Amino acid sequence: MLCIKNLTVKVLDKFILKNFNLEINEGEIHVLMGPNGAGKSTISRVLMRDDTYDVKGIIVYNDKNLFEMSTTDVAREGLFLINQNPSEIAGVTNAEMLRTSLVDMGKNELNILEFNRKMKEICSNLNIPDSFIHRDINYNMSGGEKKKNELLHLWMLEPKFIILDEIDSGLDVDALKLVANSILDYYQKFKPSILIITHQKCLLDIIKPDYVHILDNKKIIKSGDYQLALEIFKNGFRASIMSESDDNE
Amino acid sequence: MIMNRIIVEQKELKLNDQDVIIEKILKENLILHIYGKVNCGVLNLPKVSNIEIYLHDKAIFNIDLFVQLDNSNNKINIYSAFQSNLNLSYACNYKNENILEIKNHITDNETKTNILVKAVENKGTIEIKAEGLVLKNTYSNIFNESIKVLVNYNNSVKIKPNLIINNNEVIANHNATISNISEKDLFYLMSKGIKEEMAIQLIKLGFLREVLNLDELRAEVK
Repeated sequence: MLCIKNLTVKVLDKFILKNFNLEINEGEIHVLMGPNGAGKSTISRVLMRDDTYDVKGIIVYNDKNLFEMSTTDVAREGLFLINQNPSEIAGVTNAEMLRTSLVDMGKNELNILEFNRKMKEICSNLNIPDSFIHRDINYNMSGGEKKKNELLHLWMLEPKFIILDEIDSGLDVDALKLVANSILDYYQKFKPSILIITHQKCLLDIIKPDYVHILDNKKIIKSGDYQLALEIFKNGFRASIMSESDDNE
Repeated sequence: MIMNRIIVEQKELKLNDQDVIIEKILKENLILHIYGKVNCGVLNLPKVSNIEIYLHDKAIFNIDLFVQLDNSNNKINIYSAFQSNLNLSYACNYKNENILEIKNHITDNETKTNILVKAVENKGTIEIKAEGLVLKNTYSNIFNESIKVLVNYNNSVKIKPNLIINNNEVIANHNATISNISEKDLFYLMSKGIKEEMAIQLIKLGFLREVLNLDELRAEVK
């Protein structure tokens, strides 16, 4: 379970989040929506312990204080981030990186043949050629290929808490469906917790969330279920936020 | 492509239409004559070395070097003849104090030269002198040179790129970059569960391997 309490995040004395609170239980799918610049991506990076940010508050995952952990430790705890613009690392192949990661995480049960067989199976399911196994990480790949490449990592590393930061950006309709269905397959198999940051209805039509939150003015100002997302797609953020104000009156 | 592996004991070597990996050079001074199309990989140079490369008419020479510098002084002088074509990729990691000099003499017409140097610091200093000389009364030559150094410990790096061009009929470019390990790339690898030290090693490996074209040389960078 992830518990975020009174989180405040600053960069160079500018507040990005203030008194941000969120709880995500095991196996739940949450969506975070909000206007551009609201701080949605910041949450994803803070969870992965990007030390660019000045943070205060509490973030506990499975009874462990994330602020006492490094990015590596957080990943080993089972958190996994796919962001909208993954790094390109020329000269280092997917296979090399994944083997290093599995060894470092103590998950090196697969011998080289089983490792390659598993990689090939995942490539096939993602509709990408086997050559991806020995391609340099995200290097010279299109936007869609990069996202599929990140899913290759996901399926190999088997995380328990997935953060998807605008994974739909740059994807065509078919690629989006494939990516969304792959995540749904992963969810059905492993029941991880998922935090989705998105502006796209298509993604949520396939991965139906349990909870939807609107982030604005540095914190979550409204929460609901999938219907809230549909209302936002239909009427926009302002109208959805105003309807909250009307309800309060 | 299957490449022959050789150890060079002599002071002078001729390569003609062949693919070869030079595993070791035993003499400090070596003269290479290149004819036809030659793909060559070089693993290590002597600590103090003086290599002269003569590209003969219409020669095409693709050479990858992977070198571990440690109190080393490497000099490479290249002489490019008519319509010769050179692609030189030099990848090194270095510790202690080092000097690397690469000088390309364009002595004839219609030559093409691409020189790419990448160096990774492993606690040390390096001075890189890269010079392109384009002589008078030559024409239609192209010369490109790029030097990139990745530092980790913020020790001294000196890059002295020089283009000495004595005519108007040449396209010549050079660039030099000194950078630290990308925080974004480091964060990315650590977010896959990789320890920081190992992530740094992977980034350094990737940086060097990117410049090498031969699979055999890339495999040596570990």
